[in-house]
Amino acid sequence: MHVNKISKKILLSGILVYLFLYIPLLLLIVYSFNDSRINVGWVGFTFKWYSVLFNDTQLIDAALNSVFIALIASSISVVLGTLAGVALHKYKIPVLSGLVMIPVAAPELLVGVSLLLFFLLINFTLGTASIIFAHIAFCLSFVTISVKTRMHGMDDSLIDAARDLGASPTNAFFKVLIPTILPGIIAGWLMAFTLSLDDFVITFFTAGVGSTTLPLAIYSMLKMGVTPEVNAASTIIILCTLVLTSLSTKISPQLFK
Amino acid sequence: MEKTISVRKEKLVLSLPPILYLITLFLIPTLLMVLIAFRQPGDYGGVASLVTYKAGHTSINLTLDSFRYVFSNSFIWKLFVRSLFFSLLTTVLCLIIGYPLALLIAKSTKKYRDLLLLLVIIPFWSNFLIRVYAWMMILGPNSALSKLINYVLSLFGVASVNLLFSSFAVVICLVYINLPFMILPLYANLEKHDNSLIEACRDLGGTNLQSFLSVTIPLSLPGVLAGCGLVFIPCIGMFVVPELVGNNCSMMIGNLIKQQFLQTMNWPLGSVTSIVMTLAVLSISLFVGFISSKSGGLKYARK
Amino acid sequence: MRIIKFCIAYFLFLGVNLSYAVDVFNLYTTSNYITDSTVRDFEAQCNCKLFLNYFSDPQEMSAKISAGATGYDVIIGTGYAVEDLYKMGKLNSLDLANIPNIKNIESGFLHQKFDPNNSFSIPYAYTPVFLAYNKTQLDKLGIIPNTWAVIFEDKYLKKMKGKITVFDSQRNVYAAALLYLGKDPNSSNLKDLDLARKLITHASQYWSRYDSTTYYRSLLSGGIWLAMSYSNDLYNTLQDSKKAKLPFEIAGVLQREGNMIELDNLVMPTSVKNKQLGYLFMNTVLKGKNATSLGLETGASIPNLLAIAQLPTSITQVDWIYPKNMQKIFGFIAYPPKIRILVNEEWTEIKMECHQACYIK
Repeated sequence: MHVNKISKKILLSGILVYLFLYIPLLLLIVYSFNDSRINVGWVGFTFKWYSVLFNDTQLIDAALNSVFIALIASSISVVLGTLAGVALHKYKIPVLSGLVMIPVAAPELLVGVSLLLFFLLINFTLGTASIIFAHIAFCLSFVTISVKTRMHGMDDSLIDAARDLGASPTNAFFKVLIPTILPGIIAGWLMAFTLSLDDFVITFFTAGVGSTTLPLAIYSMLKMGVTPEVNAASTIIILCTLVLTSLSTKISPQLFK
Repeated sequence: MEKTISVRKEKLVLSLPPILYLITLFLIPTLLMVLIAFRQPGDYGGVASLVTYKAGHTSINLTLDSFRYVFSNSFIWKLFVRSLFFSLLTTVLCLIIGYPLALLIAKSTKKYRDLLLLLVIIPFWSNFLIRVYAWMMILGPNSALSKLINYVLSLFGVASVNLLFSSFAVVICLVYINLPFMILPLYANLEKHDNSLIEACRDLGGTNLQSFLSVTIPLSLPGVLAGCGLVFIPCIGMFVVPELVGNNCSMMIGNLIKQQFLQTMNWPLGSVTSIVMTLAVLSISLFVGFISSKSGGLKYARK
Repeated sequence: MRIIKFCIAYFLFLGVNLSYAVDVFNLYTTSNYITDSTVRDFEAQCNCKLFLNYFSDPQEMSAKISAGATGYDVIIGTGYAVEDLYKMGKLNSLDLANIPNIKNIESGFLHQKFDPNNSFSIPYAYTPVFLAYNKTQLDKLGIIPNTWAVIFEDKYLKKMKGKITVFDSQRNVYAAALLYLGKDPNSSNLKDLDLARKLITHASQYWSRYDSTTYYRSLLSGGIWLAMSYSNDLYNTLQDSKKAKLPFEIAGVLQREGNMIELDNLVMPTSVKNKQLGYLFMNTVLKGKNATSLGLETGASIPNLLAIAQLPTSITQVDWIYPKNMQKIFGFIAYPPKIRILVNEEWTEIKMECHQACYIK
């Protein structure tokens, strides 16, 4: 009896929080159909902002650029992060475990600004390449953590068995270890991909010529004056997030555990 | 013998690439920034040359000026205090709002749990700029909310207020974009709780409230701390939110750093400010970590 | 097997993305400063893709370029910013023989003090800096903002507390203060600058925020009544407000103490990949029809004789787009480096410090 009473209170406050989370997003979506350039008050229903959006080559370029950067950065960081994760599971390497924790614990702003200084001082052209290098650096840590967590629950004797049966270290690594920790690797890759796709602060400081990503483009739209095109873009992004999130819970449920 | 060599080789092969990468892209840039903090600003941005020759006299241009400037200017301290205050307020609000939801998800049956969790993750995965923009619309002077609030205020004879471009807007946006960071670790912790403990508390005659206060809350402390850290740390360095929805009186330390690097081009000053900010965040986290490990130890001792 | 398929799909995708990268010409400018028709005109001639990179403040641009950001082919930047860049050796000298359309430019805008022979900069467009306001509200208060006093004097400020924005630009705010004080708006005299600083510090408690990019939205929404403004922004705002049927009227006015103009120039950074393409770009945007479309679509003031002849009088007669009394119009001159560092720090302090008594407001 008592249990029910408490859950009701929790249920009610839970619903309120969900409303708090979703009402702003719903409003955003509704106003993407508003027939008013300055988007002050509801004027009428229109699809025109979506056609504006699909003809906005700058924004589409930015979105493609984001995906391109995220694919490369997440893939490279998966390789490095898997190595680090395996190394940290097998051996005690204080240097590495310390280094891996920096991007997780340090404020993003510090990372972004110091990378900006670094690239400028070594005369490295700011652009897509500098963004990719920067993204790998922070994605790596998250992959490492994901792989390490996966290995934690793994039976080490598998590798030993493979070695005893005459497999070379390389063979044991690729044929036994990697397939066993594959879910961890995929989860890490997904996480790295999303983090890279979504990153604003570090990208903002390391971006340069011709390397506008989607978050940067949205930021400059917000700063330079918004039209409902931003709402339309946001709606599409929210929809993509919805699909991707549902898919990735299917692919790799451990991501959310 | 052969085995130790191959072990060492494997250790090297596995750990060297990530170590080298992280040293190049994290450690060296951070150290560079520390070095720059002691240099003089260049005439046209950047830093002045380290060594100058003037009339046969060589001088090395290292200085503590930037440190002196940061520590002696009250406006910078006010910015720090305001940033800490906003971040703390945000963390507390996130905790108050997030706790019931995390509890709800943790207590719901398996059937609904994944869905409820997904509903928290979706807004979390859509870019934070979009979420800030949503509030820019809600708080705008022509929105229903603004009109309602100003109508109520006018009933009491209070002059109308701007909701957008205020510290209020900054804190709301900070709470909104950081809330999932609080809910997820809290949920992860609450989910693991053993219900039998609560039942035991009940059997001993405790009320719901008592069992909540004496069992659930203490057990969830690690989750609370993790959530608070995940909210507090990104908040401190935030510059986008005050820039987009704040006014003259809601600038944070991140805005100063951005200004120093991207507008006034005073790298040494920007470096010092960033370093002080990072040290502040680190010392707060270490302090909280220390306190929690102490209290955690106590708890186990009592058991 | 599935993994292999995934990898193949993935690398195909990468390939598509890489082949997508054709020859790109990078322009660095503020947003809404080049028209689509001009972009198409240039792309047809150069057989390349014109990529627009935006900055929100001229200082942000010169900060990035002077710090060593490279890769831009042409930059459109305001006078004092390009002057600094040239002194730092970040800009190429121009061979005007490659830009025959320079003859279209009004002679009054060539030969600026910072570049008397146009050896590195070509005027592109300009905008006066003046006050835009909510006429309905200010009429109610009986304020006519034809003087800079309205953003500096208590008797005006008290009536409009929290309803004013000024630019997030040290040069523009200091220039307005110096003009109000009757000084040279480019003064680097420490006494003058100190007077300006005190004036701004005092007035800033009544200002809402520093905003040079979204202030016109605030004007349209009615949240702001008085805003330091550029002509092209106000022009577009008026176009929008006609369609939106606002319950109030928005207007603009020049100040009697004088106004600054920001003259934006085409410059070619040393990092340009192909000089000839750079010249082609400059020559293309100076064509009469392209300059005309810029004036028509963005409301920017155009120093181009062919364009002025083509533009309707409803634009050319507007005082705050094409000021008639050029005696009261001033251009910016770059500060000496030491003064710039000093004033920048003062400005940072003004901007970051909250001068209002109430902390949370």
